[in-house]
Amino acid sequence: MEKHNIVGGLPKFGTEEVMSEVCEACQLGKQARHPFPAQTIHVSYKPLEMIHLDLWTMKTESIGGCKYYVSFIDDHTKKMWVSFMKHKGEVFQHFLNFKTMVEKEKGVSIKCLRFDGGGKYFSNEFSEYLNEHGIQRKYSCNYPP
Amino acid sequence: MLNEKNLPNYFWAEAIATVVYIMNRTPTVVVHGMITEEKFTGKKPDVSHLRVFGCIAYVHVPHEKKSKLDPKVEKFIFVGYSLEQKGYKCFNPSIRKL
Repeated sequence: MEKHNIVGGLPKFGTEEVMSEVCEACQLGKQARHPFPAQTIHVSYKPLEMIHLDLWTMKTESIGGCKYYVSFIDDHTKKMWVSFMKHKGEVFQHFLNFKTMVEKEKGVSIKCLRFDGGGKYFSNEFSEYLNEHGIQRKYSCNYPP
Repeated sequence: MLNEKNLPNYFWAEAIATVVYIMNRTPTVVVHGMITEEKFTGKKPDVSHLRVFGCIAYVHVPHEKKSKLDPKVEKFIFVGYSLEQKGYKCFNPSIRKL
């Protein structure tokens, strides 16, 4: 419309006057989120210093009849272990097995566990065990990206 | 992985175990391109035995379990790697067992 001069009163696009006007509100509205940092900061400097623990639920049963699995990720090396469960309550037992296995392999002990916010992991047994063995508990943010 | 080979959903546990197995043997950016397993154990992992998840596997039938005219192999589906022993986990479609 502007090119063929069909209507009057349109601003001239491409001229410096129009281009220099930046609508601040538009820019803020368009900015969805900040970019992620290219490099993450290492929290742990040795293997088994921090273990991320997460519990997942599946709708369908597996061939062995399992419906849940728990994943253990070593923060330093990012090595991952999974174990499958039929009931949620088995987390503690699986954690003990995992702990014995890796500690025997590496000769160092687990220092810190990181969970997401759910309270589903904690039987009293589990908390007592962690307190007794001096393993720290940390919770990740509720809604991470 | 399940969709690519048209496998039913109840294979999810095998699929996840396989993913973890492979991910522990792939390089990661966060640990500066090192292989996860190598960083943890200090040994270089071997990947020559990796197979495509869900592919057809021909499993050898031991001599004692067959007669002269029986086929030497059976057709199974490959669903993962065994952690306890050197070998693959295969699924028998006719009796629905690993």
